[in-house]
Amino acid sequence: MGPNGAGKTTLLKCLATLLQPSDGEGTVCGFDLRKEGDAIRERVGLVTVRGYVYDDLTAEENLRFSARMSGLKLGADEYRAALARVGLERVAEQRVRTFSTGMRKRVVLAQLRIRPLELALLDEPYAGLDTQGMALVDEFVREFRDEGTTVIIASHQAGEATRAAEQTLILNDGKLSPMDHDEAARSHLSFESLGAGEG
Amino acid sequence: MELLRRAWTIVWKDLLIEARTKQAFNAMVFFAALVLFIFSFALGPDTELLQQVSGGLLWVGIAFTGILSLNRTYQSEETSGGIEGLRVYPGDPRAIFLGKLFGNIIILLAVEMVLFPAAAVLFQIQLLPHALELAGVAILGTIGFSIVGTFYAALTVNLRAREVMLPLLLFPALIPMLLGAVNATTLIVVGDPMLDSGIWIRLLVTFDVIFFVISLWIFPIALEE
Repeated sequence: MGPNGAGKTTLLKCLATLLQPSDGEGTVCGFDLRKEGDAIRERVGLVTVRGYVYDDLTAEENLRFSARMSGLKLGADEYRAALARVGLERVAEQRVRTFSTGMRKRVVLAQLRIRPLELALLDEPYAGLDTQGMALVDEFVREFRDEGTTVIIASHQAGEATRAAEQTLILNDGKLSPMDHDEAARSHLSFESLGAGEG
Repeated sequence: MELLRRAWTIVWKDLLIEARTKQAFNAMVFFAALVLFIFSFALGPDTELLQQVSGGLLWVGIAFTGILSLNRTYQSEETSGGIEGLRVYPGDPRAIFLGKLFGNIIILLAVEMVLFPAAAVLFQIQLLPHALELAGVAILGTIGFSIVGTFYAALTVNLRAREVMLPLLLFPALIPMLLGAVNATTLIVVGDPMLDSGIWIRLLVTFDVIFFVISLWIFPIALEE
């Protein structure tokens, strides 16, 4: 968790090897962050606020593109099943351009679930989702956990982000510090009210 | 093999989006036709003069038109989070270069299939007797243009003045390719009894090979932010 501009998205992009850290060293899934980007990308999935989906492709075509780019060969049934899982089977043939923010987010979640991951990075996954959508994200997080996949959620909203989490960290002024998880889970207030004002 | 498979996936995605929106193709065809019309009117009805300069006019038209396609190469990714949306996947990033390159070549060749007949009418060129030779030169020239253009488009994609920077960087690098393509096309159109076009075609092949190897090699560095 952290206020706007704290560097949550930057941190996730560094972990996904989309950005090179300006300083320091690190490993993700046992691989060097600077030298073994490809090995890391094979094991890590990233969901950004807007997600990597194309407006002029259908929901199913977006899934197909994502699977092929990840080196997977799936059948039409598997794409349909993945879309049914996020409640989009009826609009599988519709272009994403016609989707609401929440529906778009569901396509992004379906993209994330089509390949096995060791680490899932979710940037503001609850943004733009209705109650059902939020419950779906929680369910996905639990499923990941049961499968042994580590999930890192970046958010500036306390209650939602910590609902499915086991540990809560605050990122502020470039430093990560632990915070009382139960307090964060109970809270439905914004980051600022948890004692770490805007950075 | 995996590299080509991923490159083809990008081509499939780009062409599917282009087939639905027709944004690049329509703009390029109209712009190319306009350029040829302007040259045709500016030079007047002198058939001999038009044929003598037809190679140059055609390739200036192709180069100007191609810039439109190149500017869109990576901008078309903007709705999906930019080029980052392609880098998030595992595998060799050169697949992105190859995919974008093949896509540019296909779209530019499709535009040229309209451009060459239009030029034949406006400049009174006999296309059919030289169709194979002209097609060969067009393909080699288009490949060369697209290789350098796809590479420079990646370099300039994050610049604020990318629409200006791309042609400023690209055209000087294209001079050998344009020399080869213009001279080979003109010689084929006006007649080539000494078979001099072979020299220019060899220049085109050499340009394509050298720039393909260099661009493919250093593309991952160009992608780094």
